[in-house]
Amino acid sequence: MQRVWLWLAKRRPIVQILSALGLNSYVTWFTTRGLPCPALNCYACPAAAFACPIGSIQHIAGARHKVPFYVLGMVGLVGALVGRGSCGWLCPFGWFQELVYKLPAPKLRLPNRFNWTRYVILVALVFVIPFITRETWFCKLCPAGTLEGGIPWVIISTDIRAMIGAFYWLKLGILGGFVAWMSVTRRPFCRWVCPLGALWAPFNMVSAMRLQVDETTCIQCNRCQQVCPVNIRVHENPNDGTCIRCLACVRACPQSSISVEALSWTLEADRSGA
Amino acid sequence: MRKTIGRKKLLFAINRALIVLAVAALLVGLYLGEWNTVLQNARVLCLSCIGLE
Repeated sequence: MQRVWLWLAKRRPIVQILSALGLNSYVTWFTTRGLPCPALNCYACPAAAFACPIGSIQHIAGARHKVPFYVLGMVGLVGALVGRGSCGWLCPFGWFQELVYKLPAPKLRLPNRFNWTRYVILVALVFVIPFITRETWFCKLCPAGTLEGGIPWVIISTDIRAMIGAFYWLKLGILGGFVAWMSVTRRPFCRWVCPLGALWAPFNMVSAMRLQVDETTCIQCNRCQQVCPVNIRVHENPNDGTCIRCLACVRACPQSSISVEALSWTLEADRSGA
Repeated sequence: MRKTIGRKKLLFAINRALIVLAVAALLVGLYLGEWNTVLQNARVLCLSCIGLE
């Protein structure tokens, strides 16, 4: 089993590509659109196969003033199983951020301070303001929606193109700002903004899939932090709420001190595969 | 060592409880017809999402 996990970890980009295609595979539209997507994937995308959980929560809790049991249950189940692992493996917008970061630009390594902003955004834009205004305010501002829905629809539909107004350009500007930020900092949307990540972050401590560090072998070389896409000091807090469970640290650790603890068994880094 | 084992047992118990709660919420939601609500909402083009509202 540990070889399977490490083999998979090396091929995470392939999993991300397949996920982006799978979550936007129009062919399953009629059967899967009632399922909340296990990642932030806008259902305005013409080919989206699943429903955006954040959009669905806003619609049910905000517009209809009901408790979104079903969506929260699905989100909770994913969180309880893998914590924020979905962010690192399935989220197309997370993958997009990693691709943009590869662009040649000065790089800024920002510390994970002010990560609490994602909780403010979750409470304010997903629950409180939609509840008061009965409108889906996070969706109105979401850059993932612009990328996956706004831009494709404007390209493929003349009717939609004719409806473009100032708000569309504002959304495009927000996306542009994020793209600029993504090119200099790793995964900024995931670390400071994403409300779905905010919902899953507390689950990292208690999820079935967790990381653990063997303090007797760790030499605190900080290699884990250097390879971490969200800049966590893994050896200090392996189950930080910002961790996206990409397993880059497990592969990179020269001492094989970091292991994946999954359900009732312990997975340790296989040095022969690293 | 005992502290670590005790803490791991606590984490497992919390994890199992969360899974049960999540499944229960899911089933309650399905019973209340939220699948249809999510489906209908997802089928209609979200104008807010694409910047037209």
